Amino acid sequence: MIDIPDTQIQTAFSAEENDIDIIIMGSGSCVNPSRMFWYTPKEIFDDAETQTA
Amino acid sequence: MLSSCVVSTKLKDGMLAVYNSIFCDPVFMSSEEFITVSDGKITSDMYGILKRKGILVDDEQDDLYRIDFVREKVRDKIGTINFVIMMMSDFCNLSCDYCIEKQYNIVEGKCMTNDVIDGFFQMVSSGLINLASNVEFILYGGEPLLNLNGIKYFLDRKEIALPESKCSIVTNAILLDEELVYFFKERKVNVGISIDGPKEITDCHRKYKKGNGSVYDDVQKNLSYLCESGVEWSLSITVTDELMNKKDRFFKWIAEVRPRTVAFNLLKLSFAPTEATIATDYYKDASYFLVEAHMKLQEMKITERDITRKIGYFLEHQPVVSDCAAASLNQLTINTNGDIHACQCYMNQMNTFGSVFDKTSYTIPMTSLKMFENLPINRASCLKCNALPICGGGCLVQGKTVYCNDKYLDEGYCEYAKNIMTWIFQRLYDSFRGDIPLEGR
Repeated sequence: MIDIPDTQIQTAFSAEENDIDIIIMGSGSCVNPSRMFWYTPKEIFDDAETQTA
Repeated sequence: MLSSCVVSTKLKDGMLAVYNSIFCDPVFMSSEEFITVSDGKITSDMYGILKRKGILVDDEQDDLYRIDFVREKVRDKIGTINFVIMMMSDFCNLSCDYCIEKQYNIVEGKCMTNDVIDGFFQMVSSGLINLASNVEFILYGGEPLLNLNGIKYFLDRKEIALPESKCSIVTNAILLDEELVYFFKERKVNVGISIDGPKEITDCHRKYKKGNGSVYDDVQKNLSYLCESGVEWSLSITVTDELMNKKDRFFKWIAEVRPRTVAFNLLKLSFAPTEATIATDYYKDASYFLVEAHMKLQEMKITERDITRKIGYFLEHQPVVSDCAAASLNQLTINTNGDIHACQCYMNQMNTFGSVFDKTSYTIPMTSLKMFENLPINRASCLKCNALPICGGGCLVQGKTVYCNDKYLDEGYCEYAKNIMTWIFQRLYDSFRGDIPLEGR
């Protein structure tokens, strides 16, 4: 099994591909993606552990 | 125990990317290892990693709690509006054969009046419409430039009421001239131009109403103003069979035009009688084309929006709630007559939220709520899909009309999302193994 650290996941893609802000504005598409980053994996794990403890 | 949301994506050499579809934090393992893990034969070293990544959970209650947690977070966002589409006109000077507007919406030859714009801002100021702090307005139509007075009035009102909000316009650029380009630059309006590529591709579907003259020739002239002005602009390109068949010609053309950003639009096949198998084949072909276009444009230092967006979701380790802000109830469309809807392509009396002229009527219609309930994150079957992290469900109307699916499942988009998910994981895996040099990514 190979564990991929998050830092390695992020660097597998270029800086431009990480810059989501520049691609939302003024794109002229008929579809506007719902963009809500509303939790982090850490948040959900911490919360679940509190609730189920 | 394994989470009920554990999925895998098969890679070229038989390896699997294994992950929880909600967190999308993968490990790579062989098929044999995955069977061992599924059988519960897990070493202590593996246990910590798989638990941290949500692949293993304590018990069923733990698993369900996390799924409910995410769904609640999504539900909390209902009615927070990130996008407002202003239908500046309901008619157009072109008659493109794939146009989504003329299929479902009623064309009455109307422009949005100042009264409608005033009514909208009154609803915002009274707190009836809850705009997100990063709300973006999109001037749309028909062809919005056919209502220039309305555009100017709207921008004046917006500057007073919501000076920090963003605004863009989607135009066919036929009426764009140098003066207008500098006007948009001064008013910080981003300009999205609808064009499909070189002349033989653009003129194939984008036509004048009377059928004479080249749309491409007229738009091409006006693109030069944008290049010289420094205004933020992008191209909105519809992916047709002609484009995919002449992709090398298209890539050569885009290298000459050099926009900063390109957004590809998939055809909305719900708006024309289309057999389900044809629609699915189209979406598969489009996924291969977009991946290739993404890589080519990256080499040219041009931002391609659609695949980049998917990569962005993947890197955030959380599934995209909806690929359509209208379906997730984070978008409103204000029609020319003041009626409020979610989707700008699907406006009828069955799905109206009310009117800017009647502040007591604003409510979410049942049709829209039903679509929300069928977003991928809310469908049990989609939690077991390997493409959940980047999917968002495509066009739910298409699920209903093309695939005759009561769950609004856009099956063509499923294929599209799965192909792109596989490409993302393959690329990650190749990068991990050192197959892709950094500069080639």
